[in-house]
Amino acid sequence: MIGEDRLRSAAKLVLSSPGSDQLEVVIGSTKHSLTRFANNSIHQNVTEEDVQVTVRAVIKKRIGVAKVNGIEDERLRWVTQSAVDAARCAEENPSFESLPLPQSYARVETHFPSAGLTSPQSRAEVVAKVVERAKNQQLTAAGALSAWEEELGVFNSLGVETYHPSTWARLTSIVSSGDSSGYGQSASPDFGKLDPLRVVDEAIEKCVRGKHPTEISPGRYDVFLEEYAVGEIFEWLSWIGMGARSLQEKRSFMSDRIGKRIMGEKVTVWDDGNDPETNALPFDFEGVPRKRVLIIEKGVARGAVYDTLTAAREKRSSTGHALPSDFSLYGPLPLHLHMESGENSKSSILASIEKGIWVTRFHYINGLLKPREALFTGMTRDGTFLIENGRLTRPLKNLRFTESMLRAFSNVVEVSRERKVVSTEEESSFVLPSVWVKDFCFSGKTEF
Amino acid sequence: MRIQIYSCLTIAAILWKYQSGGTLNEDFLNLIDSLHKSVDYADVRIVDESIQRINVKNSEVSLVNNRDRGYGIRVLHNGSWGFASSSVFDSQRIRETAAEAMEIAKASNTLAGEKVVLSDVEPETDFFRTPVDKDPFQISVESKLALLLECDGIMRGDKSVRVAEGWLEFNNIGKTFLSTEGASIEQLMVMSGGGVTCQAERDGEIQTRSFGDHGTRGYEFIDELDLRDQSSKVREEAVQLLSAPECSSRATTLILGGPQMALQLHESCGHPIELDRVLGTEAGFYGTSFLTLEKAGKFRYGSRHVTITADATIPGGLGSFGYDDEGVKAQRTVIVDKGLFLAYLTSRETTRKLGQKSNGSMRASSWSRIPLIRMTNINLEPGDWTLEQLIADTKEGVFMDSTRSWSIDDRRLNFQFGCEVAWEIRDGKLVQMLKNPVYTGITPEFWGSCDGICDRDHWRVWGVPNCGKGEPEQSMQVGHGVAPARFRDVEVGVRR
Repeated sequence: MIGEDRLRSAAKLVLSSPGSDQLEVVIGSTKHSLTRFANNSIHQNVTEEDVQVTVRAVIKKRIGVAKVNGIEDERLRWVTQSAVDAARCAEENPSFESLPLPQSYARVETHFPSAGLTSPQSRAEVVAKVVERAKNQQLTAAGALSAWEEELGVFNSLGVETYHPSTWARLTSIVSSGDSSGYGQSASPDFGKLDPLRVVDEAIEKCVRGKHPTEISPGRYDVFLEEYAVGEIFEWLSWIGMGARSLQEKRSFMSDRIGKRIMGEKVTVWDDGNDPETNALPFDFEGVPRKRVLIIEKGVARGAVYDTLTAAREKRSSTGHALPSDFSLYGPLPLHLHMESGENSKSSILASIEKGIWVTRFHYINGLLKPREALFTGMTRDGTFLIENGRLTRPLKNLRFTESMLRAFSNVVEVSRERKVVSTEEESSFVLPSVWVKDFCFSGKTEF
Repeated sequence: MRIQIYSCLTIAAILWKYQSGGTLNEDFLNLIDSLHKSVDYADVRIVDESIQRINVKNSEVSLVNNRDRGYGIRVLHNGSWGFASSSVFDSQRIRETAAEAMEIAKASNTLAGEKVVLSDVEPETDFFRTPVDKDPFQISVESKLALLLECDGIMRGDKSVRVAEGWLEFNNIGKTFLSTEGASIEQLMVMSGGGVTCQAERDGEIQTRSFGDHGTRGYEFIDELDLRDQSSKVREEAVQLLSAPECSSRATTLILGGPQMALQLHESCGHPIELDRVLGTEAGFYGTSFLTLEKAGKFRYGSRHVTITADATIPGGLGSFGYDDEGVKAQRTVIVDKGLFLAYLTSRETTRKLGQKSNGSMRASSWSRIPLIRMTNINLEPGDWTLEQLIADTKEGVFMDSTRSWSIDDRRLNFQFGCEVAWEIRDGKLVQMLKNPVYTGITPEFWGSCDGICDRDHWRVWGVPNCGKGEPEQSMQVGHGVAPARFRDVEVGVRR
């Protein structure tokens, strides 16, 4: 952490540079430590510290971007001049109107310094709890314990000045026997709130229950998708179709369908970057406050998230979902999705399913088969079970699904009362329930 | 020892500093010298990378220059690893980073498995540089932009086209590797890449065609891509696809074009041969491998036509380099010989367990990442068919090309790959274009059904710039030398 004062003085140096009509500087400093374990021992154990400075220079409607990692004066001068030079070469962007003006931001407390962030010994002790529990059951634990301490400041020549320090911690574990595996995860801004025993117990329970898996023929089944599986699906849905650019380019599953039903009545989804249970950030990478955006309401497509460029095209305001400016062509994305919970518990929903398949999580989902239909494929992983008469009756070998998520989430029978913070691979964090989906297509199987 | 390091480093340092403003300094030499006395082993990688990326999407320009530098210190202490990295180059911070790596190694030791022992390697002192005809950083931004804008205009020459995007990307990586064993290696690597993507839409249906490639070469690589011609081709095919019939589901003969062969090889061979996956150290994230240890030398991975090599020495390949990030010299290894599985991609740590030497596959995507076992250039050796002969010899089947979607299980057995485009083959001829083609299979069965591979004239090393692995995730540049190939009795389409 370089601290707010140094970060502000670095920004001041950039913004005082001549040669452009408008300037923006985003400075993010990170300290990230990760303790990785496999075969019941720590095998990779790393830490990194870095400062990323991204400058966006605007000359009329020409935009140039440059990045550098470091805040020494020489490097700040280089990155600023490089952005200005790039802007001089660029074509005018007709969608560009202006960098954002100063605004007020919500206060979100997600900064909890702790020993887990700085001490490898503290992290090793947490991992040891996981490993010991697995070893006691003659099982093998793998996984990772990550801890971030970050600060982000966004400043521009029109007066935007905003700064947010944060922490984030995540523990994942896969516990394996010879022929089965189970998964658990815990994530929080507060390292002290990680629950390693819950994580490993969850993984052990699935692993033990999953021993001696049997085959089942691919086909259509009811499925119970746990929160992790729902998270992996919604991560892909966010990438392919919840940002305004994907709608404007007609490649989103919501393109030409705003106001129309695309999923079932039990599906309500919104983005909220200010929820302190997640890795919240009260502004985006342009310094625009994050708004709560309703995306799907009772199955009806309501809208996408915007940055300033995509908002200007539709003569509306940004919702505060810009990515860093070097990713501007990807457009805005929701990084903090929430899905509304239902009335019944997971256990009571399970009890209602006559025959179906329980899916703990997926592996290697791909949502590019037909993005307009949200046709996805992927494999089940780490806990797949047959449901018969409201009970998990036997473990199953893993299956491949190929299914339209519009069709699947139009067939949602129940949504669980419980919701979980699911931290995805890309460091988004979602708050999601489990869902019971009818008639879900499994198109293939594998050997384990 | 120290004098020897100094003498070779001085030459390399001068060269690098002259070429790219390198950051090698006395602090790192002193550090290696001091670590030599206190650890089993240590290495330092100092990386200084310049990146330029230019995208033009529907005439909207994104132009990004990036300079990224830092160093990573890897320490093996009492048989356990610690790694710390920083982008702060002052003397005190370098010492603190090393101390942090040591503290981490001690923490690792509290929950250690088998003690890490490295296989032997001769410490090298060398300087490697990517051969380049045209330095891409000396070509003006204006001319690069003009090329992309021209491509943009070509692709948007049809009213069905909704999105046209062209891109160019260049990397200039200066890397210094020092080890307590006495290695001191300087590498200057240049990478160039470019491509075009065209997305057409009609009545809510979208179809995409794309072309792109990367290599460890200079701007001459971009010239050879001929992006203007490719822009015309992807536009025409994207629009044609809107009127093409759907690729029907059945078991049939499948011929894959070069770009799709690269993806097929990447996912179903490149990843399962990584020895760290086999040994379970990626189990917590991306998974393991079906190619378990007892299979080496015994397992029939494919048909007699299938010979696969890992070769980091191919000039221009995106997975080519002088030395890996453990200081092991780039080399060629036969992975599969006439269908028989022989060898893994390895590191110094993993090969010690097999009583072998590393084949030089340890690579880190950044100064801030530890090296992991990564693909280099994983290649399917060419056969003796021409593509025309292979198609003419096929009575009924489908020719597919260019990756659209990709998914494979966590042991790399069951895969489903979607392609951008296909053509129906009937009586030895391509008779019509097909849209939304997908095929699926089980890895050894699929490679076992290979009965024809095109010849050296059809063989090309395709660059994959974004192979993901590890935690924190590392995106790595790898290459795949392939030619079109034929597979029998493949499940095409999806049972739904």
